[in-house]
Amino acid sequence: MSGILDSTVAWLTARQLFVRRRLVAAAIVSLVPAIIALIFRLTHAAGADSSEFVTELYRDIVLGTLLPLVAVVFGSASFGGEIEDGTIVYLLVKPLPRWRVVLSKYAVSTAATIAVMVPAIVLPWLVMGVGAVGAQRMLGFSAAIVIGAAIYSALFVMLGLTTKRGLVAGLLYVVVVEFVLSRQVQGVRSLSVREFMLTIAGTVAPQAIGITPDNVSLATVWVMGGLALVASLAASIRWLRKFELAERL
Amino acid sequence: MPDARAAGQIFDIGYQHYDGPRLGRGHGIWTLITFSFRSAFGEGRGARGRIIPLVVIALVYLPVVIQIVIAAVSGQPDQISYARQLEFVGLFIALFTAAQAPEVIVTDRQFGVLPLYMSRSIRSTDYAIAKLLSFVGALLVLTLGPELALFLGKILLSATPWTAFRGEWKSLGPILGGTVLAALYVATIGLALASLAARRAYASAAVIAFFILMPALAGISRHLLPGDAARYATLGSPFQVMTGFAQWLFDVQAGPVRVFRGRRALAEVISPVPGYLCLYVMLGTCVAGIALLAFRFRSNEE
Amino acid sequence: MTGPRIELQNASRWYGNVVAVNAVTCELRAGITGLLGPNGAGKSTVLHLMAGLLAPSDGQVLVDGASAAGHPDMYRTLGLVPERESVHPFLTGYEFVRMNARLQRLADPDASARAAIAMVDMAAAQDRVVSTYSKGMRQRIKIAGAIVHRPTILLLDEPFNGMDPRQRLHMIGLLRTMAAEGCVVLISSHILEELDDLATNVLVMVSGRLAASGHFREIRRLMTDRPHTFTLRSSDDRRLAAALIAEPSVFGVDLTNGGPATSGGLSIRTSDRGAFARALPRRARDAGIRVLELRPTDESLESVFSYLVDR
Repeated sequence: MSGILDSTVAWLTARQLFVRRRLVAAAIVSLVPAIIALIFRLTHAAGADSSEFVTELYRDIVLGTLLPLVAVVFGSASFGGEIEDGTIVYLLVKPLPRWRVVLSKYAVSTAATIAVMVPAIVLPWLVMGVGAVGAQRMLGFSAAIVIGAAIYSALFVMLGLTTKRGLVAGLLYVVVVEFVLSRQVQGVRSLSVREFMLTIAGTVAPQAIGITPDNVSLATVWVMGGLALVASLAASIRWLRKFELAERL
Repeated sequence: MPDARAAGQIFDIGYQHYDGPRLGRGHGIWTLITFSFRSAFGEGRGARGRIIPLVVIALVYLPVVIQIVIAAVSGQPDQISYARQLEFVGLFIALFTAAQAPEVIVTDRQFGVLPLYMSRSIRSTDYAIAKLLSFVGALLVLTLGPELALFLGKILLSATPWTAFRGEWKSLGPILGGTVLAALYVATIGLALASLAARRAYASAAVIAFFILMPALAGISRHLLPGDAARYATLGSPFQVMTGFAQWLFDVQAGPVRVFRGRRALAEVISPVPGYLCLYVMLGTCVAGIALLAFRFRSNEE
Repeated sequence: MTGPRIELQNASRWYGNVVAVNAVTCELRAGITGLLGPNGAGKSTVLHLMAGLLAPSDGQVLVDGASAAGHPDMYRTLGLVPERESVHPFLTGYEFVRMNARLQRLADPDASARAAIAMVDMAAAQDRVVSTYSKGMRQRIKIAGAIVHRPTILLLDEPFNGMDPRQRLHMIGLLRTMAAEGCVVLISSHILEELDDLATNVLVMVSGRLAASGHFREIRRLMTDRPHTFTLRSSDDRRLAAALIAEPSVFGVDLTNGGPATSGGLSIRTSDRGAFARALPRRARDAGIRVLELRPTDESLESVFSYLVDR
């Protein structure tokens, strides 16, 4: 770990990400699915069929909506403002290869996303009653979160670094690819991180999760997902290495 | 000898005192409205800032062109549907708002220019009203414009334009009212959310997040509402609300299901909820949004 | 070849059509060197070239014999104090300096950080958040961050911006100590007087070119002993011109023609401003001429530097 990541850069990134406002918003995001589950419990008799509800909660709310939003916020904030206000220079004039800076920030951004989103899976599992949901389903979706967070973070760190409006670019990607295209156009599904996540979840818990038959294959997930991850990180590293401190404004 | 008197004098070097007529508050408000209207379409931001507005305009008028062409070719102008256009436009004005509402209401705050506005004759509530009116106007270009184009198409393509006009002019009422409400609805949501942010990027993100989250939450609440009440969950999604409203406004009935390449055409999905409820939701949201804006831009003067 | 060294060999840097640094050749050794020039002359660019943050478009930039850019290990012995005043606002001063120490792989980052903070006299404010600092305090904490690893080369970009005289004095003492220990210290500034009594050598840059280099006193003498020009209007220019040319401090008078009847004014070149200022009223009074307007025409720093370039 010490060879690839730098603990000081990680510490700095953590300080940048965890400002009070964001922590509060993150806590809300973690709790909202549990609250929804709670409402379900309160409005339905015990033993009511919750299977479809749980799948929709996990698939549409947590994976499909909350995870991309959280990943965008953390990913684009990982280099947040440092390039703009010039404080990146303090990381660059150090005996520290720039690729380690990128990877350290990426790691913290991913870890933060996972830390916020896993409770969003586990808490509803507890609220609904562990039997009702099933440990397998919970684990399946948790694994999906981890993979999805890793890929999304790489993408959004890159967008935050290379584009001026990284936050918006990331969100537009989510809206266009995940929401619009992949539901209309079949081929785009192999580009959708959401589909990757569903496949992972389905692999871990095949019986419990109703996955549509034309989902992407596991092989596609590893290949395309891995490609997206590696390409994004490589692009970020390349951008930072070529970055030259501009003459003062 | 150099003139010794020059040492103690203050020279009037050009800052002239102005005693002439001043145009006053009303003119200031009007100027702000026109200026904000233009910045909603990306003016002043260079070529890059115009991309999204122009793309959205093109996409919104595209179905209009298609409908008119089909009607002209098939000779059936009554096939032109106002409702379908209004339903369709919902997604695009949301996108436009997410991109441009921050330009209208956040740039002044982000660049510290607000004090300059507030030290003129316009008051802070005037500022908020002007911004709202200008953005509603911008959205009207996207909502009312296409509908009027369709209206004209229906009339002019008919075999007997004058008779067609006499039959159609009653539709102008719903067209006007519907598009204005739709524009106001999305504008208040966008501006109210955007006014909470200090940077344009965060404002855009907030608006996008809203339009992603609300449909998702509406979907999941289907499970939370008991029995038949589940269909009211669609009132949570702004897009469903606008669809229901459009269908109610133009009295769209469930027609024969048209299948086009294996998918059901959009307009045939009739809103499960009575349309007037959608109207109330939209009105309520407008009121809430305006209240938020009024609160944020409330006057601090005695 | 002992001791730290920076060399620029015909180094140039351009951005598209704009040449920021134009064929600069110089060598820096232990001691304090000043980098002087008007705003936009390319001083920051030169500093960034030396700091390896930019690659030269042409020529070479060598630090201790090795190319500056793309060489992270070089930073173990090099410190940079950038000009922009921002430091991560949410960190305390101590955390900032300690972060720099840790990134430098120091054995005891806490102790090194405290020592550096003490050296810049910021011990009292070190636990306050940087966003509460004044400009001068921020400059000092940046310097602490740059010296925490005891570099042998220190590059400072307009370090005295925003410092009050007492802070400046303290900083000068610190820099002198470092230079005496054998460090290469480069301070950039656009105010000549700031480097007075501090820099032994000075490099003067104008419009990307090296206009002058050498001993500080010599350069300053050249710059202040340059001829001065004045424009003057009076009630009788021609007679005043005749009277003034007799004055020893004046070595050139031109009648600038405003027309046959009107007095167009005089342009006067003098080598001694003070003597001229005393002589003019006397001569004018003796000749019974009224002086209407007197203006120096070349007080700007640019003209000073341009004069150097023309020489």
